[in-house]
Amino acid sequence: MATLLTLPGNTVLPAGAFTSANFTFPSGINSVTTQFAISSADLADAAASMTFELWRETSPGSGLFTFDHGFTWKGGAVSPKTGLAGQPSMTVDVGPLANTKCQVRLTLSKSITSGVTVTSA
Amino acid sequence: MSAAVVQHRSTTGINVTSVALAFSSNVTAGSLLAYLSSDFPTGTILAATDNNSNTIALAASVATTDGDNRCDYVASANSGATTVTGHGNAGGADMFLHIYEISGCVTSSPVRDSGNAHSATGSVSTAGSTSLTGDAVLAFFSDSPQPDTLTVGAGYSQTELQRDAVTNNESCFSEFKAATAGGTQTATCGGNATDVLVMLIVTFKVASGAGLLTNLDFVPGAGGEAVPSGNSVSY
Repeated sequence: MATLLTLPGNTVLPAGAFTSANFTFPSGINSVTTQFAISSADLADAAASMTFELWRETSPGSGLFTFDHGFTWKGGAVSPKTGLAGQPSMTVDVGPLANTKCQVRLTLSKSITSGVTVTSA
Repeated sequence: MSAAVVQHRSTTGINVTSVALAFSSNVTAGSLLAYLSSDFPTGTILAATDNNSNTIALAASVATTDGDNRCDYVASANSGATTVTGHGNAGGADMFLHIYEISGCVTSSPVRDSGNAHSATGSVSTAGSTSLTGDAVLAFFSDSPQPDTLTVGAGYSQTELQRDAVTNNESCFSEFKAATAGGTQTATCGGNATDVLVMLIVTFKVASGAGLLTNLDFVPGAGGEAVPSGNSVSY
């Protein structure tokens, strides 16, 4: 497993749009996972919401990025399955992401404190 | 000609309200697109949408106490980049989305048959027996509360598997075949321990299949001649 992007758990993500630094997945991978570690206060905040998107470069060196996958999350939710406010995460099969430059784009309704980790396997 | 998979992909989102996934390559105009989605807990799954102005309809769905499965489809896709979104509970759910592009199906009213099951046997059959040789057959299995590594059943391929073995312990598996015989279609999967699976199977009509043509009689019209012995017809 390789870790491509890490934002520590005390990272304050500002309201509005946030774009990460670029990173490149290795070749020979099968899947990509993004795991958030949102502070407990923000997990419980019904006013907090986030759109996570992972974009990939359309062709090497083009500098043009296109959407690959993403999710929406809303704070204040308790999983009926676990009874807990769970951390959002997403896994995709690799598709076109191997050996491809990517970036994470977030859109937040309000500032939250969260770590983010993007790994490949 | 039989139906065939052009491309397929899958994702899972845990504790989210929706997931979105792009096809790896541009979709070809006229393809059939199948959007298989599942969520945990139950009663929350909504119709999938996409961003390419396609007309999406429901092929089949099943709702159980162990989770919900549905299969939405596009009969005749618009060409180009296509992102599919699966929608779950606004308050948060675990979403699974498997997307398939399939060639060789009719481009209008393509759903032939469907069926569902809710058991630990890992087997699901179409309710009817109208499917024809060459039809596209898609099966979708949801597994909870253990994230079993479900495996492909006999005759199927082009599989997708997503597992959440860390957070909420669920998995979803899908598989495809072009029907090799007409009649009732059955899909199986291996790898399940004891969980009660939520299962869905859908068949889509092949555009021109071997099953459609079983016999040809050549009768000369007025003034015509019969086909000489030894000629063959391909279809």
